Amino acid sequence: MNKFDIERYVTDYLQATQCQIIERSPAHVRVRLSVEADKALTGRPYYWSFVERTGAPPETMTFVFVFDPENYNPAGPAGLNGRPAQQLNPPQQTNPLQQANGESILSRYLGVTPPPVRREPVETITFGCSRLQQIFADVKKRGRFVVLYEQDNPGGDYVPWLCVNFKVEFTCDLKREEIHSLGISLATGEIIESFHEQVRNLALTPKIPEQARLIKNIPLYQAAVDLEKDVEKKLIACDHGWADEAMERFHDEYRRIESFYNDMLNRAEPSEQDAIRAEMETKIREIEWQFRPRVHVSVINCGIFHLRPDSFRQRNRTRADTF
Amino acid sequence: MFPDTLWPRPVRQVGQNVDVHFERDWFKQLEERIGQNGPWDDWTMYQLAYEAEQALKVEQFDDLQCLRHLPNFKALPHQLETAKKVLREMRGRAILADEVGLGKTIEAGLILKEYMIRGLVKKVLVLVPASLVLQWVRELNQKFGIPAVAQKKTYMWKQYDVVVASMDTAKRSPHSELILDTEYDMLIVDEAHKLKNKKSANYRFVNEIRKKYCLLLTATPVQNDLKELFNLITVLKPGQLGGDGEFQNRYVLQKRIPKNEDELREQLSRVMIRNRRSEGHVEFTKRIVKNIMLTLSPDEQALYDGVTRFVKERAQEEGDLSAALSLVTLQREVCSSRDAVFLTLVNMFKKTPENSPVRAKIWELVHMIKQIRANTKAEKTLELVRNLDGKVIVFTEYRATQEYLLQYFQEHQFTAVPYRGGMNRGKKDWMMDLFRNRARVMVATEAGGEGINLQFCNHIVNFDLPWNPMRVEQRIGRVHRLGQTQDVYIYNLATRNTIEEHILRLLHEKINLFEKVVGGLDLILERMEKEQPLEKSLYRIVLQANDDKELEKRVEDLGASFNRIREDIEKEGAREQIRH
Repeated sequence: MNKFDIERYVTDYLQATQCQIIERSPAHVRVRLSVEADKALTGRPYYWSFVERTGAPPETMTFVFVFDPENYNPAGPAGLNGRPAQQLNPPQQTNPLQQANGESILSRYLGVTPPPVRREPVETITFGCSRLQQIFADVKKRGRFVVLYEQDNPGGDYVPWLCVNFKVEFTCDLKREEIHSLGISLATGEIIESFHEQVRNLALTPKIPEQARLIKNIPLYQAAVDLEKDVEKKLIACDHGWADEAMERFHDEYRRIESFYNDMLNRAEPSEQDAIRAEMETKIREIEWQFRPRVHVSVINCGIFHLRPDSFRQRNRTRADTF
Repeated sequence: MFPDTLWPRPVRQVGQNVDVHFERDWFKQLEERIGQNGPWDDWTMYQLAYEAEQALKVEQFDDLQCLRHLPNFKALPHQLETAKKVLREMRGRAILADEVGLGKTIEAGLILKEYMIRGLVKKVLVLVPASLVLQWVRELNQKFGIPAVAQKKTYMWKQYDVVVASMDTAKRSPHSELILDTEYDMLIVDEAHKLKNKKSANYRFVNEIRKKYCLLLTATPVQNDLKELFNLITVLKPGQLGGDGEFQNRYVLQKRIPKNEDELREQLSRVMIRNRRSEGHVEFTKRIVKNIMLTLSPDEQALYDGVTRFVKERAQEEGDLSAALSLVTLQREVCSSRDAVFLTLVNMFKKTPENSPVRAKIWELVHMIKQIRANTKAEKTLELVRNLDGKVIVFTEYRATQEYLLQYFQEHQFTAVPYRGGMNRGKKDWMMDLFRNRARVMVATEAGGEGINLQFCNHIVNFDLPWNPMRVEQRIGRVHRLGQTQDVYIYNLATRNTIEEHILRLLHEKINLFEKVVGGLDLILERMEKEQPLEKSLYRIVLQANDDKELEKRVEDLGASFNRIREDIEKEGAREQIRH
């Protein structure tokens, strides 16, 4: 992700969580968080439980997220290369002094209350920074399951597709990952790869269209099992050199540990032997944990996509035409 | 819902040496939502989640991933090489043995970050000397964005994933039981040479901790005994150098002298990485030393002579030399400022019995102090600061001198900020900010403390000198370090016809401490100070010498023995170098 990707990503997130974007340029965004985003990002559980218990009006935090520090001008709402930033929702201009002139106890005693300090943290968002990690974590929680319908389908016939985005982790003492987005038609059982990339640009809606007729012949679990088997087939076919090498390392270490402790056992008093054997066991468990090759398949997210029967065929044709 | 029996087994073999495990939770949750007709998640969130996973995906087994997660971090080439080597060749178990100042902590941080990004490490234990706990926490947090915490309460062992603790705390009950009950994805031990003795509690404790990856950090790996190195490696990879007896037969000729060096080197290089300054990893700027000899004003000289007389007399009366050693401090203090010696005298006065004749003598000295109007060194310092461009840090050994200097600078319209060991973290940081952004001068009493990084300043004034070479090096090291782009100027102020003259000659001419980093200074001192600290030896000499000539001679001897040990160590180092 480069800084442009990050800018788009964070802005999408803020909008999807109904945050109030006050000011925006390609280099930064100034935003008043929504309640849900505040809960996810600011780490203030005590504050929120206080608000919930007392019914006090919630006060969410305002942040300035900077994506491009070189082109960000903190002095004024100017954006990239001096272009003015869009003032989207200018904050209400209220003078805290005037506000204080009413009821405040402090103002009665002191004549005037100091204006409340509104902290507005300015943070540079880079890949790997903790704020972005928080956003990633929140997004993963909120984007797990969808059911969607393709818009603009005068016929009213829909083919439901089960899409599952698999994450495959190849682990030994090192690790590599693959992501497989697979979709299976519940009408025909046909499996399509890179499904997510293909449906991403369709016009989709969560609203069930009136008079939708589903063409569905395959039970959902069967589709799920088929997808899993498809992943398994890919795994059997792929190169297992890494796993064989890892096992070799394991055996290598195993022999070394064995001979080391056997040597020790030969010299040790009988009373010490149990302790030595226990230590050897621990060390062997450690290398097993370190080297044993394994593949783990988890699911990032999944959904049921109701598409027009000709959806894929049509787009595949257009793609063929362009060549 | 349908019965689980319809599914294939979740764990299946996909290759000769490898099984696959399928997670199935997702399907249950999907069915539940279908059954309840929702709730369904937002399509944008769904896409963002997929995009996040794509961005975080680890493409290759052995590429360094961590750099793209640390865009503001500049690692040096040898640090990156080290990180790669630990990952690819050493498989996450290594001794990091770089010489001081090359950034072992950085290397450990990079390696840890890499494993965390790959999702291979979650639970981490970092064991360090108590004085370094906070520094480690800060470095991991700030440089690497790793959420490390300093262990303070017992519950924290379980509650937090990355815990930094002092070895002494960790090995005590109830902590030790909790640690030994946990499996750590990574264990990092700083100053690991403290583990070298197989029978020590530290060693046994660390050897017992269950760990997947392990980094041992030490600057002095083969300090005294090959056997100790063997023990260190046993924590990491038992058997790497063969069994105990085999190791002795194959590699050890004498305690410090190995045999079959090529083979030993080959075996060591599989578990240990040692980068050296001499390999040109780091370009340091020059150090330019200026000694400024000052003549005390008659009043000051009179006070110095008075105090010296007083010290000698008292030492003779005491009879017991070691009880009198601290008196030498008085002489040192006079050379610094009247304020410093005044404070000590007043305290001494209070402690002296009322009927003691000593009281009168002390009072006499206090009276002499009152005569002094000016401070020769302070005047010189002000002159220096006026003529220099850029920031200046002034080091003194004494709080009272620091106070005096701060006031003195203020009187002359210079803003100077203080820095001392007793300040809490927040105040230290604040002072550092003030010095960086507002003030031209900082007056500091502490150099050894963590976190003083003064690369933006390149003038050091040693208002007075510590008698411990290590502390001198620490002072300079605050300014002359990685990141310093300019030559560093060191001004040593010393007064003629006082003990300062001798000390400066020892530190500068004999030991040559200022112009460049003395390699293995800690080692030299460790050996030299087997009986007593160097500082104490000097005190003894000052008290025992009958005249200036003798003093000079004995200080010179001390310098000579320092250089002998240095040569010894260099020879050993050269042997070690051949082995690497």
